[in-house]
Amino acid sequence: MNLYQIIAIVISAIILGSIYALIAVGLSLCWGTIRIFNFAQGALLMLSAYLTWYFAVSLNMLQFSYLVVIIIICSVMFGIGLVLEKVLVEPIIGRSNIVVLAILTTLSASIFLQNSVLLIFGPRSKQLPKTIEGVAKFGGQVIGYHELLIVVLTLFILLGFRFFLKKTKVGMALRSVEQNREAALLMGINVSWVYSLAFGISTLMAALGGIMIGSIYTLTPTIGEAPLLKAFIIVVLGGLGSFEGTILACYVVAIIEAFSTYFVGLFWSPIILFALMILILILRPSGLLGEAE
Amino acid sequence: MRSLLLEIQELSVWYGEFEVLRNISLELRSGESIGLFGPNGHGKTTILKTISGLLRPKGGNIFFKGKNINGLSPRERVELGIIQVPQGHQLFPRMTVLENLMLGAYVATAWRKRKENLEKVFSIFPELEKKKQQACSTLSGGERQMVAIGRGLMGDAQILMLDEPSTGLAPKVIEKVIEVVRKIRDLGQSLILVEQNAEYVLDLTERIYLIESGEVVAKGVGQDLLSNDRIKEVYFGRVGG
Repeated sequence: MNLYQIIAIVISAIILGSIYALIAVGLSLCWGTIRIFNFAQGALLMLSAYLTWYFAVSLNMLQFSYLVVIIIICSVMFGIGLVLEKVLVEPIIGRSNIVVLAILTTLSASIFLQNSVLLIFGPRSKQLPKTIEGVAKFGGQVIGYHELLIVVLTLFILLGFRFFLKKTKVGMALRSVEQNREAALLMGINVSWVYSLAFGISTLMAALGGIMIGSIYTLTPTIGEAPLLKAFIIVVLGGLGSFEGTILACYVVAIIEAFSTYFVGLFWSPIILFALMILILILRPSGLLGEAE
Repeated sequence: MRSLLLEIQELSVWYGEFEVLRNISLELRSGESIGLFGPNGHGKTTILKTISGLLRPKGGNIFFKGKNINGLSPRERVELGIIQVPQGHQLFPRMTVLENLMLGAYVATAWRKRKENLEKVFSIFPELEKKKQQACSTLSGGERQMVAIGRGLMGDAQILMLDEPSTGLAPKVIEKVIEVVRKIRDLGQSLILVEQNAEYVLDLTERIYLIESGEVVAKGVGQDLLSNDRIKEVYFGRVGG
């Protein structure tokens, strides 16, 4: 093993970590504000990838521009997120067993979406076209422009999201519900609106992840499952509700996954990741950067 | 006579099968300060939560400036200026002092006046201005209570409801909090003060309602009420116990 190989593994890890980051930030937001775990996130990512394929390839909208397709998909998926929150989450708000109920409702939605997509689009696998063709070469490494764009775009999305959370009034409302729901109510914040918004943003993040992943891997109705599992590990590892911790954990998990896949084998990497998660939870129960409650 | 700001008529509130408030009636006039006094766990906080709209009454009515507000959401009540400073301050711990204060002005009506209200808050609490960029989790208990009261004032309060602002604080710090509440009262702020300590409630309010087992068992001007046997029992019972 030489330096070139190490660099190649790290590059692939950063690309993977970027996609995980988008899903994990959505999960973390849903957990922080609504206190539910959204198991439909993987299926929403998959749905977004299929819808992108439908608009881009089937309707041949790429003749306009990929950007048009992305904007349409993001708006549609955000809307779907708002509707799903009303259907899956709102009816169980305030119930003492909401965590378990939310697993059931979102998991059901996930199965429903997977089978609907299978029914509508059929089992033949598909692939999204890359946003930009061509590769960049530097230091003996080859990296596609498309992959490069994913890394850069994710960075901007995450920074933009952080700015939104810290600096805007709506972002402050989201954080306030996360930190003290009853006090947020007493400030006159419409908490059920904040829940819808959190779920909508989370779905939007999954949608972006779906567009990215669909042009690297082959589309299948279960394409969202593995990333969801990784995102679950990431959110727990980084500390539930901690934005910085979540981002850090994304790249840690992606790097460990990339190296363990290379050295130990593809099927061992989830085992290594879960073992790591358990180990870190024993040492730091609130996660890497999470604050103890 | 000062105009009637808040009028509560025969309010009853239930937690599941338990009636926690029974036939509560009280009134607050503009610029007045009233105290809700009584032992712990007898419904004082529940009254405030019902006024804020966090709890729905089973019976009775709440009027604000003559208008029935029973059907309004907590948000709509905050927009009217009905502001509660909850017990144990309930801040947003991972936000700065300034962010906490700004969230106090979240609703559109208060948001428009946020600059002048912030100046007012900093003039009452000069020490908060120095610490405005500090996370609230790093503040002392007294400072947290100051932020909570300041956040309430940011809501452009018509009625400010303070739920036991002295709880859990050292005696010296309590003195400071009481001083601030007196200052706010003297600025003409209409106040509802929930307190367990008779000394503070007598000092700070014009009239007192004695709440026991979810009912108003006595009401009146503080000094008169103190000669009442019942209030003596509650007051001295607590001190003696």
